[in-house]
Amino acid sequence: MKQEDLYVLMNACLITIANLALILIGERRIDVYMSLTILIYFVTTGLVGYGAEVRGRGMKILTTVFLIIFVVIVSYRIWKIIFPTQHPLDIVFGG
Amino acid sequence: MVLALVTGIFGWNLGEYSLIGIASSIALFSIVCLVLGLTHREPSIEFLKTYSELMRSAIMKVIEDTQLLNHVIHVIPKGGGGSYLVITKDVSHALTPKGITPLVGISDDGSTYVSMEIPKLIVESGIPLDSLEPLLNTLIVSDYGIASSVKVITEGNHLRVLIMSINPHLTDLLKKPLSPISLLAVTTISQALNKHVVLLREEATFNDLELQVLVVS
Repeated sequence: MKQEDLYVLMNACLITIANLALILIGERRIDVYMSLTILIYFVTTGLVGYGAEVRGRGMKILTTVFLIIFVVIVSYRIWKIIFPTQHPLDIVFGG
Repeated sequence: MVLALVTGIFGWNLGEYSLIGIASSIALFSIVCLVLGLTHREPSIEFLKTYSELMRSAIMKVIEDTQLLNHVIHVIPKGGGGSYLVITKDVSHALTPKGITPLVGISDDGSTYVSMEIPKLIVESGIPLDSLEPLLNTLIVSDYGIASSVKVITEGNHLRVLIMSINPHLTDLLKKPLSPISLLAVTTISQALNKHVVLLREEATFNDLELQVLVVS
């Protein structure tokens, strides 16, 4: 199997498993789904990699964007623990 | 993307945040697939491999006839960004761009050499040694898609260049001597540093390549 195919397949399988698990435990927070998906992306990229046939620049930009989103989510959660009041991002992530 | 949108709208209407969560997860995954698809290149290099092999065998014949089988490769800047690639038995650095005759020539000490003129490959010239690794990564990894990463280890005036996880479609080009990947790397180093460099050793394992380069001047 080509590295690129394995990368997509592994991503898809892990994201499906993670989403099913989150539904089963009744998770309603959007940021949990997003952060787990991003985490799976990083783990798969680290373990399998997308192969040399893919131009690195596009994926590098995507990684940076995902990292920023992940940092925002983590910061939001930390903020909510310290100050459990209303936050502008509550609308996006469902509180 | 459409699936993510439909699931998202459906979840929003029902007030079901877990559905919106799944929609966002699908959206992120589809973005990954989209970027992978847009940045993918078909490895249409079979013709290039054949051509490279033909050229290599022709040059090898010249090298054999001039008894340069145990050779080293010099890359000498010739001004204007281009360089001379000189195949010689001599590791000494007596060669100067003015004294080099294209194809086959005899140096001042009487030894034979084979030389080729290489045009300017990169814009950068005379960069510091620590900028070499990012430059090689841009050229070999991002632009040409030859390998997954390039590492440069400096040991005095010797450089160890590790080209890692070479594209499996290109491993045929790792044949020694005169591997196009080695020649590209060593020429880029010479043109980037604007210095005379000597390729002392090239060692190819399964899909990695290690080059030992001497920076002369």
